[in-house]
Amino acid sequence: MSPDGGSGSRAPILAVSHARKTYGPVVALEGVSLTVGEGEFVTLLGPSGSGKTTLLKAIAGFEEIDDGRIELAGQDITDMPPARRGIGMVFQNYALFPHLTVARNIAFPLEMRGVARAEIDRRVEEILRLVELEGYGARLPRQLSGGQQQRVALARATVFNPRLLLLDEPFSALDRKLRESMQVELRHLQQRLGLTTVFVTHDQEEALLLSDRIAVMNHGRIEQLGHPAAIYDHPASRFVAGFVGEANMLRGHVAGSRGGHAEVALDSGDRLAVDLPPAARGAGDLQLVLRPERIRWLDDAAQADNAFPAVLVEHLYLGQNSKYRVRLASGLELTLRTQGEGEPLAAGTERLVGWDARDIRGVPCS
Amino acid sequence: MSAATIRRRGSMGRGRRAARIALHAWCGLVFFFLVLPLVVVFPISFSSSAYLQFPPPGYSLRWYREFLADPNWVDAAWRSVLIGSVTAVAATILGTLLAISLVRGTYPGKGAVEQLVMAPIALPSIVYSVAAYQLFSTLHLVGSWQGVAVAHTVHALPLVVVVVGASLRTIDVSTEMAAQGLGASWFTAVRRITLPQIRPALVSAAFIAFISSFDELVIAMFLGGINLTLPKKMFDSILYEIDPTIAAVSVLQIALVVLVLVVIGRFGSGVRPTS
Repeated sequence: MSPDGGSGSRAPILAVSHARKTYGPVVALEGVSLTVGEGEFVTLLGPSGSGKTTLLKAIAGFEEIDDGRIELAGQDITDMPPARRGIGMVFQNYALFPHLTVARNIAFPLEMRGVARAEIDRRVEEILRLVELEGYGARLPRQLSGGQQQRVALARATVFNPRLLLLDEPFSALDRKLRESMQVELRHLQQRLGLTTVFVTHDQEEALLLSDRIAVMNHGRIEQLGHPAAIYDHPASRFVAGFVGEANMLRGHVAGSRGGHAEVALDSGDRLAVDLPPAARGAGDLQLVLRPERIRWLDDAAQADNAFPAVLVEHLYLGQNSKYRVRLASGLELTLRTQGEGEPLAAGTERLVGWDARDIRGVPCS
Repeated sequence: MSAATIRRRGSMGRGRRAARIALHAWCGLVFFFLVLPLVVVFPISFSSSAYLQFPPPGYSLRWYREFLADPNWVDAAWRSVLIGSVTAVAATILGTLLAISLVRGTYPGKGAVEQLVMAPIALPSIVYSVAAYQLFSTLHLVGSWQGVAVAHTVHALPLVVVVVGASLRTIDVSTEMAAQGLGASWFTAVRRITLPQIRPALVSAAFIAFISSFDELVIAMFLGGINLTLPKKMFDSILYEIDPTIAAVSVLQIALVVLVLVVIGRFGSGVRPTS
């Protein structure tokens, strides 16, 4: 497997190479390259303005790229009109045709392909059953709930067996509970039909849940491409670490070694034992990422490689877990997360906190 | 709704009721003012008298017979219906294309085109008519009904662009994109997805274009020559030979417009399922 957790043994269906797009002085895509394997679910994750929607529209054919190349199943589609690409797309607002019934909406791509009437009826019935909307064929889109409209959009985008399915933040308009069930449904449908999928979202939880691979985008570039666990546990940049999950960002430099680990002196003055790859040991400034769930309460300083007395600043109760902000003696503030409802601690309480050398990651300084 | 809000409504009721009565009275007055001419025109058209007399001394259908018996009147009426229909169709097609270009397009000079489209409305009819006369005389279009239809079409364009453009702005452009992504050419996407969504506006625009032509006098005066349109014939009739035929014509004209409105009400309303 390639270092980016590439499409691996699967045959690549989509290959974007060096795609560049500018709007006047604004660079929307800055030489983006991406391959997606057959049946793979790849998510473009990033904040608004990161270029993820531009990339999706370029793949669909709604945006022309200034430079670069897009291939679908080995065919150059860079200048092909959207109608001939054979790509299914679910829009953020679903873009259902309001004047056509659900059945006519879903039949549309089949009609455009000259499929016989009887065959159209059969396939529309079949896909309605698949998305659990049997009996809704004669309704108008506005007579359906948001979740049902979403499923019609999905049915319409998949009924013609597209070579590729694109989804542009399809769940952003749904409430949390519905969103979670739709996410699971989408994943099941995608796996059942073996659909090669590119999904755009700014929701990192959604990306971690659904994806085979995630491309984290920022300023028109892919900052990191890899499996969800690799993105979370080994962020390639400060941006990725901050955008995917919560992180305590620490800065410092290597000051020596301690018990087989590197010793890092933080800008705050604290000294930490950190597992660093040999290549990073000689470097000057270091950017360190410490996930809040890696920090624990300690009874004894010997329980962890790094232990500090800390004062509780704030306790946030979040139901399934608890979040605490603590301040070390140096003035450094850290966020710490525990499972369960956690101990109800009053602000000002003094406790020992700590983590092991392997719990902390270095990312390139930027 | 809680009991408290119901009580509060009750105490406010009296003031509200007074306001409603005042509103109804005002609406009644406006309505009366608007239909007053009809109240006079209608009976006169059925008058048995040879003069415009109100109230009529007796009732008959002689002025309707008079109208139908006079080929000048009937020809003028048919000519106006023909010109109005051609104007409605041509202005709606051209105006819709123009509106699509103005709403959806991005090209240099779009702002200037947008301003220019409104020119026929901004220009006084008489100036427009003189200009059209000058141009059409070199094209040998003066004195033909086709010339009037062309001038009426240009005159109706801004109305169509305003009505269709406003409607086009309210519909979701991504439906057109989605249709293309699903395999439709741009033309098919517009025909099957965009136009059906703005159908009420298209019907209204065609109606407005028809009325603007059917009722138009100044352009028809300059360009019509001996081919009189109905408004021109009515104008002449009032000038030279005033009799209750004019009332009968007015009633027929009103009846035609009401008929068109009813047809629009039947076919032009909102989005309808087609399956």
